Amino acid sequence: MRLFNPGGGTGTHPRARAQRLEMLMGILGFFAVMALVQTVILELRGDPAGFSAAVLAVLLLLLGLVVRARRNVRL
Amino acid sequence: MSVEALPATAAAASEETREYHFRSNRGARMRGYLGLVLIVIWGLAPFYWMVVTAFRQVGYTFDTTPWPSHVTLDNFRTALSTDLGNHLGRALVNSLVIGVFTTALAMVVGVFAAYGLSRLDFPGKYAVLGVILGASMFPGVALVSPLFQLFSSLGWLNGWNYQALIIPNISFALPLTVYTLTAFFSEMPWELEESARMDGCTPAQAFRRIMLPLAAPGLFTTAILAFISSWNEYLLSQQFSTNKTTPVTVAIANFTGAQPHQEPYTAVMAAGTIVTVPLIIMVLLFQRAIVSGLTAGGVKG
Repeated sequence: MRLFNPGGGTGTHPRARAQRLEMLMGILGFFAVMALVQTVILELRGDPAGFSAAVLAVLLLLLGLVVRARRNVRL
Repeated sequence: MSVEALPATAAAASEETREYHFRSNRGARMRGYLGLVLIVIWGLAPFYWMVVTAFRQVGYTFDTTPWPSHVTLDNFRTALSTDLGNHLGRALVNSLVIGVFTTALAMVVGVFAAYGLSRLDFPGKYAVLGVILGASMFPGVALVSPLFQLFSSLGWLNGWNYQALIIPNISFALPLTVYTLTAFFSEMPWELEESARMDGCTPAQAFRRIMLPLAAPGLFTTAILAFISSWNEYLLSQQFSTNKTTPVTVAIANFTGAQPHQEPYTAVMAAGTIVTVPLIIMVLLFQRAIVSGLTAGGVKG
């Protein structure tokens, strides 16, 4: 794991690609959970939640694409 | 061309080549030094101006003389005085308390988390690191309103409630700690730990007696970075500090002058100079550990 080593993590080796995609999954997953919590709270309070739901949908779509890309990487 | 002349010609050509390389190297080196000097000037200019203004008489606050002129120590007396309601001394102690507790807690949690992330091989390990990175990307200003409501209902926004400042600071210091230490631990030779295990150490003993002492430079670096981030934190401190727990960043922003609506620039600069001194002393003391710790995480093993 070469987090601060530009030569180690940016190569085209499948393992490096898998690591990058997993990190992206983590980042997108974190913000998706935040958006989910906000959407649920807004819905429960009866406040307008359209924009929040749209952001959540975009994040989930991106997350799905990244998960699929990660599955396609063969180590 | 005679046979004897050949080596002499070759030697002359070699000498010329060496001279050319020496000159071009010297030129490159000079350009490098010039770049370094420019970077140092760029970085130190605001600090220099702060120090110069701190030693300048109030009447010459906006004097643009680039070197110290009309020198006085009155600004430091004003900054440390409590006559105008400024409490810089107490704020320094508060910042120290908040910084030490934040750093200690972030280090205790961060060391174990980073060790697990770098040592254990489990599915989704990098996703966990991504979550940590995502948490550090989260904008601090988005936390102010919910945390204010929470701390208000808990009764933490009055009196000596340092935890209202320490807990939010940890949420920013911890991702930094985990990320830096993960990079550092992953560069360490695991054969040492395996040797300790072979010699009869338990995993905890191998970690405590072998790996932790070896990781000392990285730990120092991370602790100093966490302390500096806590020391310089302003946004959340402005909202969650009380009159008794005000840290230096907020205390300086709230400085009042002798006249109403008069911003005491020179006293603020003096306070800024005083506040920077502990950081400079700390960095100078641990300079060697910081440099080795910063480079250790980025060098290919």
